[in-house]
Amino acid sequence: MLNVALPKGRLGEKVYSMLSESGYSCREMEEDSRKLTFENKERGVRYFWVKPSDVGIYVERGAADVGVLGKDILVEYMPDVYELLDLGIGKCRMCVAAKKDFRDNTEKTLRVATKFPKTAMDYYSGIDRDIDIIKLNGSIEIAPLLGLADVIVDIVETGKTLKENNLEVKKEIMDISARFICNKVSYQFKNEEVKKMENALKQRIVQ
Amino acid sequence: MTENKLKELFELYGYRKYRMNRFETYDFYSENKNFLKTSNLITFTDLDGRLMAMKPDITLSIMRNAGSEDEKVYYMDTVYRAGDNHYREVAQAGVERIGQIDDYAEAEVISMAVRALKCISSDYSLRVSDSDFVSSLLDELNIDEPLQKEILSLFSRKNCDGLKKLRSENRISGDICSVLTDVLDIYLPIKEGIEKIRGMEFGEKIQKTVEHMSKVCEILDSFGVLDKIYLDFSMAAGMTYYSGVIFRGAVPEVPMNILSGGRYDTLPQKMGKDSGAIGFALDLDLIENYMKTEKEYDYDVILVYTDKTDKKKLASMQTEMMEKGKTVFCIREETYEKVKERIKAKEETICAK
Repeated sequence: MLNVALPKGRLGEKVYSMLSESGYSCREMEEDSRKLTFENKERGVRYFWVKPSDVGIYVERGAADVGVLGKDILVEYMPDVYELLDLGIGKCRMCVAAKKDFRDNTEKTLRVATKFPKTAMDYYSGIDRDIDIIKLNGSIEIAPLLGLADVIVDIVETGKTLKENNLEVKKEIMDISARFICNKVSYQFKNEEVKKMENALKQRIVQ
Repeated sequence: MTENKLKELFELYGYRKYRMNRFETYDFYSENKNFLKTSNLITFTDLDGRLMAMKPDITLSIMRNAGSEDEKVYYMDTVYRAGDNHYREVAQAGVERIGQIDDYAEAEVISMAVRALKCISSDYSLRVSDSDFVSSLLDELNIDEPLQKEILSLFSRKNCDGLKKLRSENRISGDICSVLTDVLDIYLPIKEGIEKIRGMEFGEKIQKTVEHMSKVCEILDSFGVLDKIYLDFSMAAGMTYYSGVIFRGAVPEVPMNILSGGRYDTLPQKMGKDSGAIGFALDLDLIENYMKTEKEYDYDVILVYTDKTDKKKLASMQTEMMEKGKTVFCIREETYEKVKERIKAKEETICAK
C-alpha cells in the first residue's frame, strides 16, 4: 500500500486527475465525503489531503510514502526526501517585488516582507545584502504599500495582483513547479510501487 | 532488548567495549570541526577555568585515545546534538575499527552492520556508495568546484530533472548529463550495480575503485550477507568526513536511516596516525521510538493488602512469586483504589487477607 499526500487545493486536484488517468483512481475521492483518507485497495494506494506546506513533513517522517508539493515549499522547508520528478504543473516564479518607483538604498538595511523567510535570507545572503525579515502569513502585497517593508519576496503567477496594487517584479529568484517527492526509506522498501507511480506520472507530463 | 543483542554481536566479532568521558575540551572540537556534522555544542566552564563541551560525537574521542594498531572497539553512549531549535540527547551504539583497513577488514565491518540491522528487524536494507567513486567521476568529467557542489546536492535528492535543467541551461553537456543521470538512477542489488558501472567504461581511477568494491562484494558474499545490500550513489553528497565506502541502513518500520557509517581515513591521518579507520553507528532512540510495541500489561501480578493482612504471609507469598520470575507490584488497598484504572496485571490481582 502506497500512502500519497496531496496538497489541498487546485494543484492537488490536478495531480489527482493525472494519477487517476493512469489508473490510480479512487471513487471515494470523487464523491462528496467527510472522510480524511481514501483507499483503492486493488491499486494499492491510499490518498489524503493535507495543507500544502505540510506535505514535506508527512513524507519526511514516513506518514506518507510519496507526495506532491511546490518547489517553493521544498526550498523553504528543505525536508530530507527524494525529489523524483518535476511535474511541470503549478508553474510560477519566486520573485522580489516592490512599488514601481522603488529604488534600493544600499546604505540602509532592506526590509523584506515574505511568507518564505529562508528563501529570502538565502537569496540576499547570496548577494551580501543585509536584510530585516518580516514574516507574514498572507496578503504580503500590502506590506510595501503601508510602508511595513521595502520589498516583498513571494510567488508570482500572472502578476495581476501586483499590477493592481501598483507593484512590479524587480528580480526573479527561481522558477517554481510541482514536484513528486518520496520518503528515503519508502524508496527502498516500496521501490517497485514508487517506480511504477513515478513512471505513470512521467507519461502524463506535458513538456 | 536491542542493546543486548547488539552488544552480543559486537563481542562476537572481537570488539571490546569503550567507555569515555562525557566532556571534552572545547578546543578539541574546534580543532576538528571539519569532522563534526554540527557546529552547535553545549559548552560550559569547568571549575579549573577550561572551556568544556558535552560530546556531540563519539568517533573523535575514540580516535584520539585509541592506538594506531589494530583497534576494535564498540560503544553504547549518549551524544548531545542540536535539532529543531533544541539540544537533544541521542543514544548511540556503534563500532570503530582503526588500523590497516584492507578489503577483508572493510567487508567484515559491513557484514557486522548488516547483522546489526538483522537484530532490529527481519526486513532491512543496507545502501552502499563510495565517495571516491563520485568525486573521481566529477573530476573525470571536468566539472568545476561550485558546479560539483550543486550536482552533489541534486544527487542527494535523486533529482534527475535537476540535471536535465542544468543541461537545458547549457551548464553541462548532453553526454555528461546522461552519464550522471545513469549513475544517479542506480538503485540495484550491489552485484548487479557493479556490473552496470563496469559496463560504463570509466577512466583508470574509477576502474580501480570499482575493482575494490567488487572484491569487497565477493567477501561479503562469503559472509552470507549480500542479498539485501544495494548500490546507491545518491548518498555521496558533501561528506568531507568520509573517504571511500559509505553505507546507510534502514528497516521498514522506521522512516529514517537508523544506521550510518563508512571509511574515514582522513581523521586518523589528521591526528598524526599512520592508519585507516572505518565504523558505523546506530541511532538507538529512533529505533526505540518506532519499534516499541505497546505493552499490554504493567506487571504479572498485583498484590493488594490491607492493615489486617498477615505481613509475614504476604512477604513469603511475594517472595515465592518473584522466585518464579514473576514481576509483582505490591500495594495498599486504599492506594490501589485510586490507581487501579491506570495499572494492569497480566495474570491476576490478588487480594491478600
